[in-house]
Amino acid sequence: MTKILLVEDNEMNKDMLSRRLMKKGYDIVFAMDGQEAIDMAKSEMPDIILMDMGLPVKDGLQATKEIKADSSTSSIPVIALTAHAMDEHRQEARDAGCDEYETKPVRLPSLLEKIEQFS
Amino acid sequence: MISFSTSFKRLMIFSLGFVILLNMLHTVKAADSTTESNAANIDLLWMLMCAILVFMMQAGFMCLESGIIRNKNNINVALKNVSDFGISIVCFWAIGYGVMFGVSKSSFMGSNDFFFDPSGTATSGQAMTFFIFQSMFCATAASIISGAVAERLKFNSYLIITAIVGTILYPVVGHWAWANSDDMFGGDGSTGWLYNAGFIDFAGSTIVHSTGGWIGLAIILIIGPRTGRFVEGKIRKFAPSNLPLSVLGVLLLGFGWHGFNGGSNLVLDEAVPGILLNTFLAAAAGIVACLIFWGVQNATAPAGDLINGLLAGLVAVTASANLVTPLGAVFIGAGGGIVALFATRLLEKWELDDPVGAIPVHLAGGIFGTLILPFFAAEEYLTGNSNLNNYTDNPRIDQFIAQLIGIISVGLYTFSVSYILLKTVNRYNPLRVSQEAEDIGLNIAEHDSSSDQIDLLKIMQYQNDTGDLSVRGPEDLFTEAGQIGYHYNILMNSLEESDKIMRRQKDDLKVAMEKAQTANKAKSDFLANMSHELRTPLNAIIGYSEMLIEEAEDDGLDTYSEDLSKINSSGEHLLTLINDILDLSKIEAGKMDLHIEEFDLASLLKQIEATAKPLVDKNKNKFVIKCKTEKLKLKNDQTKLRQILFNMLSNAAKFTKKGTITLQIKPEKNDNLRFDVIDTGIGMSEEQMGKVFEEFTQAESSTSKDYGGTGLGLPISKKMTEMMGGKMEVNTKEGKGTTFSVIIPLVVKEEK
Repeated sequence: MTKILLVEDNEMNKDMLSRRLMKKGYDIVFAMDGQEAIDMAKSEMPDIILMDMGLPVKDGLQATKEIKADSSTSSIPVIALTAHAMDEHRQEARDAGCDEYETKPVRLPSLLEKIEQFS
Repeated sequence: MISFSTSFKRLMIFSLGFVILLNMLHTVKAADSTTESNAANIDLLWMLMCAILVFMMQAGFMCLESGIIRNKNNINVALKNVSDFGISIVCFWAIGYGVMFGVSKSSFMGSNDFFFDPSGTATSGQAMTFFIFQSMFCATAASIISGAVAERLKFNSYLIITAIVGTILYPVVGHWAWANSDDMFGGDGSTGWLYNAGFIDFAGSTIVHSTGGWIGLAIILIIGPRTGRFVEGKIRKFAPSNLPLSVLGVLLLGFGWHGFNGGSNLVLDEAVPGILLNTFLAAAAGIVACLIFWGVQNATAPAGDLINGLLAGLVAVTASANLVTPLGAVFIGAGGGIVALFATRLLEKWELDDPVGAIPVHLAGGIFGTLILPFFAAEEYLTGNSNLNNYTDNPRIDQFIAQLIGIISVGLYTFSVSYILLKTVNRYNPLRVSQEAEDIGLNIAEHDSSSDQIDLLKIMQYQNDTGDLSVRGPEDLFTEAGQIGYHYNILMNSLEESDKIMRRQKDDLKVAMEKAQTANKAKSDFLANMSHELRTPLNAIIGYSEMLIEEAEDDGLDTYSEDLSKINSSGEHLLTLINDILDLSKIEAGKMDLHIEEFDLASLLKQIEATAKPLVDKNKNKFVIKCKTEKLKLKNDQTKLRQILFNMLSNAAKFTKKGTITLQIKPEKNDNLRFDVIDTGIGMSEEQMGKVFEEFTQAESSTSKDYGGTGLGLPISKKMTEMMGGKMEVNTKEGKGTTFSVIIPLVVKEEK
């Protein structure tokens, strides 16, 4: 079963997205902030990370950079999730090492397609 | 009309009367008088009259020059004219006359008769008469120069130049040609070397006129042209201050010239009428030649050419007025006029600035008249010229050589001496006025001259420079400038009043604009923040409703799924609205940037087709893409272009049912690419069409109820298109369909 690390600080978004993904048969683990995401990535070794960009403690960009810099976690694909529907943010996410980019509100079919691509 | 012979007789009678009067006053002498002495007195009278006529030429030069140059320098030129008369006469009296007519040293210059005073000698009257006549010639040579150097030569520089002319320039060449033993006034038996070489210059085409011209040329080479006359190869003409005054000057010169040539005969004999006839015939021919020259080109002769034509005709005939037939005088005068005309063009081409044309008239005209003399003079006169060297057995050629020697030697001497002397003076005391003085004009700069006209101009200039509207010009209802000043002041009063109002309004406007800008920025910031904040709860609404729809379907609770779909689509609608507002506020706040990248048209079309097809299909429409240039590579903002095209397609899909929607792509001129979205939908009226690009407006407010939409899509697309350097167009026919077009500039390259 594909294991997804969902990094999201908003309770509702976390709840909704995780339930929908679990329904599709994914195993979900959570992190609430950037630092937790880095720690979880190491301890849980998920298949895919869904990373919100606006996070407390360490933002998603920084967290992604560190995950990608660590050799033990660098191979885990990261899909960025953000409410900023702007191109510069997309580029920023790419530069930080994100493999894909999904704009909020999340379109489930589109997100599933991207997840499938990596699993 | 009075015939010339009649007026000649009258002149004789008048002269005789004058002489009788003189004799009555000098009763002692009258007792001894004989017929012979009467004749001698008539010659004296004639010479004195001619001297006075030549004096009149000073007035002619003054009018000609001050009228043809600009207003701001006219007083300066007039004062130069009157001063040069004074200085040249005094210099000629003290030194020049002795140099010219004193006992010759090696035929180069005279050596006595300085501080001229013949009183007590037997021929003192004759000598004095001769002196008066000759000093007028010297003044004439000096006056010629002032025209060539007008408008930029310092007043005191001019005085120095005049002194040099009156002492060593004019008298030396005068000595060369005119010192001889034949004349009845003061001849001392010694002769000048040009006279000895057979050179003939009757009244001074070369000696007086070319001398003035050569010196003028030397000075303008030193001081350069007037500012603005030649700029980047373009010749600028300045407005003459008073052209009729110049024409009066020319006529006065012509009047005085009769004395210049007539008096050069030195006696009143049978030759005088012929000389005068030739003189005014040449003047007339000079004018006629210019009129014909311009007439054959179907153009009106410029004033300068006419003036110079007449004068050059006079200058040219001056060398030979006593030797040629009337027909010869006509040819010489006409030739002089044409020569001056071409010389004027030549000076302009060489960027030599001669404001009044003194060099074309006096130098070129003088050379022409002197050189042409051998070919028009009666042959017996030339064979009778005992001084002439026999070079070729042809007296005309021999005379021509003598003339050439005269022209070259006079030119070399006067030009080089004046050039070297004045170049040296220029080093220590610049001959030219300062740029500032040239700008404000020499009337004010050099003479502190003032008139109500100048005062008014000063006031205007001051206002122009400072923007100070509070000062007023001089008013005087009895002068022209004063009247202009009076009305100018009235104008300034109302201008000052409206300026005050305007300033007040400008301040008000500035405050209002600042307020509006602040408010607009606040609005844009608010919209940007609000829409961002709204998205988070919206995400939840859309996400949860979608999830519920899925769950309801899975659990077979169809009764809920319809209502849930309404919640979901309302959320979607709200999201679109928020996205649009966000875009619009970004554009207005100037926060939207272009992201230029290179991309394929083909891949863009593929994406468009995939995203737009479901929308188009919804209303059972056919979707056609027409493109013959898929291989094009574009360099522009791909994301924005995609957003614009998607917006246009979704609009078309919304307003078309069971029709066709076509996306057509065509290259346009100037490396532009045109995207047409053509639908066969409901179309729009003209009134509706005018509103489609207004924000928050749909073609009709009821439309939004039937078709949905925020009314922001098209205004945003239009603004984005403009950001990309393109334009949007719309064509529509109610009931038939609509075509929206986007034309964007691209660096289009055909893929290899």
